[in-house]
Amino acid sequence: MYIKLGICLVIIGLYSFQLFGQDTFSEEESLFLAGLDTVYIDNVDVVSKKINLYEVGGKKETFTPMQKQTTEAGNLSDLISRYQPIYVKSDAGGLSSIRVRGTSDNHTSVKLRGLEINSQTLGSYNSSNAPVFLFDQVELTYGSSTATKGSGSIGGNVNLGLENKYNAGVNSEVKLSAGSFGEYMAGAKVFASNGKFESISRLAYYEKENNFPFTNTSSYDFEKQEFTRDTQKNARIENLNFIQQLNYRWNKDKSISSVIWLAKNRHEGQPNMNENQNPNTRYLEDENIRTWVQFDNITNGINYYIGAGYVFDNAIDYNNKAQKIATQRIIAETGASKEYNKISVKAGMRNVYIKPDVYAYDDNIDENRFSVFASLLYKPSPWLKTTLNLRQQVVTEFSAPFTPSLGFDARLWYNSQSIISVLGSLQRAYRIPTLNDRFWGQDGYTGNKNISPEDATSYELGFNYLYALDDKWVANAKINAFYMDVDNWLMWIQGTNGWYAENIAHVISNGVEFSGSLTRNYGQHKTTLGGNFSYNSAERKKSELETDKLNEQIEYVPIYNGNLYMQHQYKKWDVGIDGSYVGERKYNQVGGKLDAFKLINLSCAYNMNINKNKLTISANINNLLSEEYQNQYNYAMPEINYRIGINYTF
Amino acid sequence: MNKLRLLLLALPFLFASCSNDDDNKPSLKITGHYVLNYGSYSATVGSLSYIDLENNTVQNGAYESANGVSMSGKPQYAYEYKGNIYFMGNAKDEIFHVSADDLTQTQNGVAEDIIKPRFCVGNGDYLYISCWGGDIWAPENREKSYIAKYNINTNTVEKKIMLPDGPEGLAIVDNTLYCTLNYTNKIAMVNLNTEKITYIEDLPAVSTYFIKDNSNNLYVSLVSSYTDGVIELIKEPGLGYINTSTNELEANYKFEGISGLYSSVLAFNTDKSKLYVVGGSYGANGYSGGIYSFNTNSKTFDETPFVDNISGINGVYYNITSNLIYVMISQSTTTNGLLKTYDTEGNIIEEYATGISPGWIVDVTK
Repeated sequence: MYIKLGICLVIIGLYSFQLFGQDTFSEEESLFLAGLDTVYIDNVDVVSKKINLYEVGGKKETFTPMQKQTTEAGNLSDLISRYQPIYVKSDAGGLSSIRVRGTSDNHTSVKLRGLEINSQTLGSYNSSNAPVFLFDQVELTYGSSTATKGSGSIGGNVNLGLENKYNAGVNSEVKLSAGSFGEYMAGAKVFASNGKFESISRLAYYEKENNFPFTNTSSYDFEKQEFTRDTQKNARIENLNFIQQLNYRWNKDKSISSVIWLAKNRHEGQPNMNENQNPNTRYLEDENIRTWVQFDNITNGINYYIGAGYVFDNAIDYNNKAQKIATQRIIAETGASKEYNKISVKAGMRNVYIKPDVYAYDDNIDENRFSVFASLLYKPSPWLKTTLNLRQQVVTEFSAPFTPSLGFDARLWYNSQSIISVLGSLQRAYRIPTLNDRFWGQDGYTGNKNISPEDATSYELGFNYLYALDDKWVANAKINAFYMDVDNWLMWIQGTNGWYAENIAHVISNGVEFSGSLTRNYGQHKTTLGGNFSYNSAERKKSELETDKLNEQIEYVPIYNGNLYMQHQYKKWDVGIDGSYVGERKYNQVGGKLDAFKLINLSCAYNMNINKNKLTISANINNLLSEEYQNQYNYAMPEINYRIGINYTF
Repeated sequence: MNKLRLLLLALPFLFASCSNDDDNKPSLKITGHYVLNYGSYSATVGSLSYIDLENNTVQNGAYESANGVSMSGKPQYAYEYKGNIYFMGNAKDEIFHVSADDLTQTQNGVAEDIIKPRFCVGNGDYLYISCWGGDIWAPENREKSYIAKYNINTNTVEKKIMLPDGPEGLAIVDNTLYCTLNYTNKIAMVNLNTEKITYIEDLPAVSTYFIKDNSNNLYVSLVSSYTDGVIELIKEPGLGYINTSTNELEANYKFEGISGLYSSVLAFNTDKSKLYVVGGSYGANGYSGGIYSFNTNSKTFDETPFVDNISGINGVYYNITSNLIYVMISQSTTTNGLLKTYDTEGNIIEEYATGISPGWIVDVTK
């Protein structure tokens, strides 16, 4: 009985981690739930794993290999908006921001190992700049996780995963693709290792002319009495990213890993529909150097690590290098953890020194952000685990709140084929105002050094269901309810002599998310059907502005958002169809709304084995119904478009 | 066709809802005052709001109602002239006009030779339009600004009179076009016969808008600037007074907090004995704006503000028919602005929601 149960649970775990991409039910979790923690399943070393151990009670999602492959020639926004019920506010490729659970773009932190990728001046990250091809996995945390991840993770967190494989030998992968509107992508990865030393190089180049046709609803021809048919101008994208990992492993307990990510992403600021005929081109360029080195060691059962990083971010607007917007960061972190029978503990500290070089700041500004944090995982029985995370940050001349979080994950019921579990969390979260919010000083725009951090409290409750019948049927379903209360919401508001930052609003966001999938294996066929749906109410409850509309849905938060996908594998063929729906969104508080839209995409891939190498030829049709839609007010988006690609692994 | 247009114009008014209009009859009146709402770059285009004092309402979306579509951009300024209302459209940059009778637009806007139009004034068959010509805040673009001479019969720009340093507000006195300059401490004077340009120099601040008194002399807002290369020119912001006979700055009535916004910051009362000026200051509770009353006989500001502690104050206008002072307020670029009306004693009479960023009043009662 228990052997059969164990096999089923292993299958569930593998499917959930590798196929459904939902690591809340990773193999470790499933085995833990079943009390079968003596079974070992080899797995890649995803760096976020140590953090995840203490993040219990929240919702996490990853992506299936086919989902990732389908969007590999694109960027992080493409991947998330297509397969998750998360709203990505974007134009047609150059600029986009992830908005999780009704929060703003600077409430989602994007991380690569020990580094926060978000701009320190703006607070947000342009997710159009992250090529999906470069990363081995992308992991999403829904909801607050400040206690484990630090300032800014109020709405959610995106973790860009890089694997350390240590597979002896040399492996390479090359990807080329071409698409509509002058889109070309070229990427390469080289893995080289002797089992102890490892070098992984990753390169991605992407360009797109972005000259797609659209109906310009902001240009009405009064003489012809119709809207103008237009072609998008000045929206070219050109992104170049290179990641190098160098790792050394003395043994399975002792290793040093390093990563450097060099990025030069340049795009023309897509003109909105009103300004599409404006001949002026606005170039926006981001140069980034991101490095992280970490030493890990286990001695006497204590796992300790020490890491250090350096980040240089430089944003160039209009080719105007004189008006510099640059920041440098030096990051250091150390911590230790130990696992006992029922208890695991971790503690550490982190310091980030920030030195901005921004033309609109005073010259003498710098900042230290020091944090101490501790985590406790307690497993009182095989069916229950609980966590407590604590963090206190100290910021130069700024007061940051103490941030605790509590979480639990409990098995409610199981039999030989199914598990039902319940999870929940209570978190406090915050966001330190950006450097711009506090230090910007320019004609008509003034930062405010006296503002407070945004302060949030989040509650979450979820139920998970897993089902596996041998390897024929595998199904899962999740439902999560959340409630988030964000106070001191920051805005820039207009004064008599210009704009300034102020704590303005109190926002409550709550909702329900559902996700599920079903996989059927029969003969040489494998079919997966899945979907996600979210209902999200996000309203201002209080505001310092008398003209703000209270108790109404805030801008750019769709109440309804969802997607469905079906993937079918037969012999060497992979085919898929997916559709996403984004509900109506307000773009202002005076009745302006963007229409709901649905996008349907087709994908097809043929896999060939050539000796021991693998060649994949793929084709995609995006926006099959040629839907005219907007993700951001007044910014055109492409109608039907195509992409073909080849991928060669050797 | 006209009936159809009238019906189109009336339809939204039938359904419009404001704080005080629930029990009022719909109005078909299309003369009176309109609020010009600039909109915002990210959240909406511009709009017109009709002020219906008879029915005590403000009806938003008047342009959309008349034309069935939104404006093509964000109007920096609008000007009633010879039966039409001309809009200085920004992003997209164009001059377009509607009938002052029913707000209908029948011709496409004119974009040729129009780059960042700011303000205009009419003279005969021409509008003189101040244009920045580019991103004027960058020093290398200061030479690009100009005055467009726009023929209202042919709807074309007949000539560009190059005028560096960001012309903004305009006024015509005795065939001389007076131009404020937003990026230097001068005022330009263009002889409309010869188009020769002369300057009033060494002003104590940069200038934004004029208002003409009963003697055809000009009050001018002399405001601060934080732009590199310009900030050094700011000595003493205030309310300037230009004698148009001598073309000299006769006086500067110091007012440190005079508003530098690009909106209606100056307004005379009926007999022009009082000039209402938008201003403010930064205090313990953040920016606080108000309306300050200047006595044009004693040449002094009243000791206490006419109204104060208004967050987001954007503009002022004096309705000479009703003797009401309109105060336009914009606190956010994503939500509606406010129009507050006051009597001449400073008592608030009413408050209405407008479109986003109300900045000017267009008077079509003349």
